[in-house]
Amino acid sequence: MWQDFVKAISGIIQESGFANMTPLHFVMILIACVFLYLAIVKKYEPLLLVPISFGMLAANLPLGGLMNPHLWDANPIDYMAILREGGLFDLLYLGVKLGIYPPVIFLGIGVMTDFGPLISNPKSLLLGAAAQFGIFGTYLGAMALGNFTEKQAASIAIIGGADGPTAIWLTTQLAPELLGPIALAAYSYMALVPVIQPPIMKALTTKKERAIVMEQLRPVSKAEKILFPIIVTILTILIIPSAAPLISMLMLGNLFRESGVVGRLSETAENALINIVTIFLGLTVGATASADKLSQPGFGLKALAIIGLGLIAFSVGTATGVLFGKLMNWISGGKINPLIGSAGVSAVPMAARVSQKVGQESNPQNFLLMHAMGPNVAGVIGSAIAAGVLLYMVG
Amino acid sequence: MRTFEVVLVGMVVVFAVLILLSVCIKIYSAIVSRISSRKNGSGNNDNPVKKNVSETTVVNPSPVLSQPQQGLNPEVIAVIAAAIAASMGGSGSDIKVRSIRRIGHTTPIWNVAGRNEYILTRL
Repeated sequence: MWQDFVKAISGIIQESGFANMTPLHFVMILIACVFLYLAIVKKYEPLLLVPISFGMLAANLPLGGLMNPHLWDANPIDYMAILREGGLFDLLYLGVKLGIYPPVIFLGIGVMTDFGPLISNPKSLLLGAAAQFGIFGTYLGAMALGNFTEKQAASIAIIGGADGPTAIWLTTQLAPELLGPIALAAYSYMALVPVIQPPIMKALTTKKERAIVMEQLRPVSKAEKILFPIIVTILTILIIPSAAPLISMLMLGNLFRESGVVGRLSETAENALINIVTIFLGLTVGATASADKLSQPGFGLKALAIIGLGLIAFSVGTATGVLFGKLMNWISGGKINPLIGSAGVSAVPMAARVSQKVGQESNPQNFLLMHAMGPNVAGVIGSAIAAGVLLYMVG
Repeated sequence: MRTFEVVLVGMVVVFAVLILLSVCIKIYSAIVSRISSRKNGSGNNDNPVKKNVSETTVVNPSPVLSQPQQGLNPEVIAVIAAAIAASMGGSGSDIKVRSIRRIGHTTPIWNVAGRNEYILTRL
């Protein structure tokens, strides 16, 4: 009787997660807790980092079976096996793997985005393009390091797009094995935009340039706003078909907003739908950062390199945006404040707020926010196009 | 070599597409504004409204000089009138806006700083 009892108890202990825990699991749980701390206490992009880091925490508790990385490592992936044996996170991860969640999030972003400042000042599209140098500069850097494949380098480079859904979308297509670190780096740096950008912006501009007051934007008519998503969709997708999922959903969302005849749809897309999908996306992307991955030789080093390269991507994008802003300022005869160039990295609307804040430090009467929103939303289109080009070139 | 090709093609394509987009936006904006101005010209709907507003409107509280309305659209006038009515209380029916004039900044710099601080917390 007593022996049976001891046997049963020891059996339970041996079958428990504690007995199966390795030091690597412990490290991953610790990392997850650090990110939870950053999200909850420091408020770094909490809407994303809370689900991401909790997904990471839950998936790294042994024997939980929420996520089974070996099912996803199979080549080719056996989707029937995933449906049969997969845990909860495996099933939710299908939406990431099949490229469903990021475009749906873009639909919501489209509803929330006002392209008015961009339409009234189309030149700001150029600033959005210039900031994409960050992506391609980082691609060069990652390839130069030598321990990344072409596809991995492209996925790391897209961190410079400062656009979470775009980064996740491209990474699942090109280098799904790096999804965890890339998503974490992308969202962490996006939260750090107010810390990373101002020193670069100040270093590259004079006080006089920062104090430039820009002309007021002309009002944009409703017809122009309605035509914008339609024209962008047709043009962009005809030129770069691989950017279609992101651009088409972004512009559909914007058409919902501007047409004004589908209030219910736009309300759903910008609230319920985007929130539901963000929960699924965050949880499962976090869950891909599993201890098994960390045990692969060289993965830790790669993760560190990704974090370093991500910072370079953001910094280069900011710098090229500001420098291009200076060039445009020079060409226009002093009418453009170069600070709005840094907003071209996307990270909507944080980067535009940073432009406003830095501008106001030099000239308290200056309001750059709406001017910076132009390059800011252009950056979203620019990074989606860059993702499409990378997918076409290295995919 | 291949790496440089990706970078070069990537940047050229991103710039080309965005430049093309900005040109298209300029063109269709011009077309839209031309069509709407033609409509306004033939229908002559908006003009009388504008005149009406500019003639009957006013700033009551501060000593303001009258000045012809230039580029001040009826919406802005309505907003200013509403703001005055709201700050003065009452129904607003006893207020007449005769002219609206932009005046220089007379606000003390500390007030401006405080206001900016407040705006920044709301951004």
